[in-house]
Amino acid sequence: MNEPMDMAGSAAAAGRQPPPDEAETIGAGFAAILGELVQLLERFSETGERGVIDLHTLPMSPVEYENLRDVLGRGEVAAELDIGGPSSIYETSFHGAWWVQHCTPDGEVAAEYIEVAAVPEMLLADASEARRDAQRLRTRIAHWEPLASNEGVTEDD
Amino acid sequence: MTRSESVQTVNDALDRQGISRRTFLKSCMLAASAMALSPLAGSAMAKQLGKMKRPSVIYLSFQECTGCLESLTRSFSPTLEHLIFNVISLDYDDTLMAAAGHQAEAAKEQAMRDNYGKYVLVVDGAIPLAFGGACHTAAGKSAIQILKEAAKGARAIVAVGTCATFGGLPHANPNPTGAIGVSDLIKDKPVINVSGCPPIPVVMAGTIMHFFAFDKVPELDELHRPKMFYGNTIHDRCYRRPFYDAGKFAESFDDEGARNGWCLYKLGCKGPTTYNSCATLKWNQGVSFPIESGHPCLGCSQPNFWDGGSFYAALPTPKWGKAGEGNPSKAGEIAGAAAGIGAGVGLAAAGLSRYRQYRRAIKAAAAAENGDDSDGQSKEE
Repeated sequence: MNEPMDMAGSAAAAGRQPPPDEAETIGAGFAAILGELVQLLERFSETGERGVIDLHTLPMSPVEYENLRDVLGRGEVAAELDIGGPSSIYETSFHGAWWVQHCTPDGEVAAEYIEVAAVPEMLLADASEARRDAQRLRTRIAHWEPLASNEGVTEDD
Repeated sequence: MTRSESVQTVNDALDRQGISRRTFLKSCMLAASAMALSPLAGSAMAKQLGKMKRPSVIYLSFQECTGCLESLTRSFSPTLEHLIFNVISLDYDDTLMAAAGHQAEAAKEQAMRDNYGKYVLVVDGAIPLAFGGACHTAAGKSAIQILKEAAKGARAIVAVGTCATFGGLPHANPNPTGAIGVSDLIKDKPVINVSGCPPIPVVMAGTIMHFFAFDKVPELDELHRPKMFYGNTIHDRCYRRPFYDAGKFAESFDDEGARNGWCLYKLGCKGPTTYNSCATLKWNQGVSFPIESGHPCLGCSQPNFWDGGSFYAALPTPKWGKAGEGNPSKAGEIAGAAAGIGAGVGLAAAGLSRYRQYRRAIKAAAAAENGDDSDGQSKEE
């Protein structure tokens, strides 16, 4: 349970994978999670409000955990982050419901949750950081020397 | 720590250290998860902390072994315990700071003046009262004087480690220095106890972060410990609990039960009467904790645990101290209840364990008198 996700394998899948038949996979153990997710998705669609279901602290058996991942499936978008240890984010087959997993540098799962949002907060770029990096890029450009007319051209060209 | 550095915002400090917003956000989310808060709370923590000026923290050490500070600082990755030092402005810590002597003391007094009423005081180590407080003196002042002076301008006090919270090892019988905890001396400021010998690093850092991020003392238990970290016993969350319930116990440290990872109750585990987060947060960034490594819980986050009888004598009759000190009677009730919940197996196991220990001790003593090197254990045991 709670093994780090194989992002490469899932990224190879083309398009969305529809979830399996709900009647065959949903158990009483996590029906409440799905019910809460429905409410969060509806609220997001009406108001744009972000919501989170923390999976790490919920008592779930390994079977329930896998069933939940199977039911939610995988969508079109996936991201891998390297921020003080690996983190993985992918959109489930339900638009706006994202599965987020944060690991320690040793690969231990430290936090795992479903985030309902247009884009998970972790993926957003920060305006102040962008402002700082614009200045950094400007400085770098200023230090570039223009190429001579024949520089970079070899005899074979 | 210069004054100009101390007025920077936390975001400025993180940027200067090359720590991205995403890394800080992740650390806050992990901290929120450790506090049983939603990841959204972690996001709120990151936003609130990021824009605030780095809060001043003054760290005082008294009768201590430095284990608490080592626990907090021995981090090898950008975890919360590491980032805490980028969030706060640690204006005085006589173990970590480069300055010494009069310069160090002047820095402390300057920080106390500049941040009067706003700084957080972190204390580790017990405070000795005997001989007028002479058992711990620094810069010509006793620990009592130093603590009282620093507490005057503090917004809150975080006592880290069992020594600072309940007196710890210095307080153990016969307590020759008259050692006490911070809350036994300071009565007019909020004191948050973060007990443990040492406390788990994320518990220390998380408590401090929670105070600054949410601008209030977290909900505390009857021993003034944050309930988010001390709300459950080790026994409540121990992964070996099913073995306790099934009556499967290790009888010695090298028997089949020990090798199979069975319950360590009969080997003296104090998990049923100890409140801490070791079973969930674990140690060394989640690698393990004492029980998982095969050793019974010592009860190190409880008052008077050094005087609770042998670490290897099974409950249910702990001796946590006199009535009224750290709820020993309640601890005894809980121990009895825990044994009861174990369908009487715990009581029987404890009694049998203590009888066998007694027999082994008698045999070992007899063997020693006869010049026999064996430990007196017979195969039928």
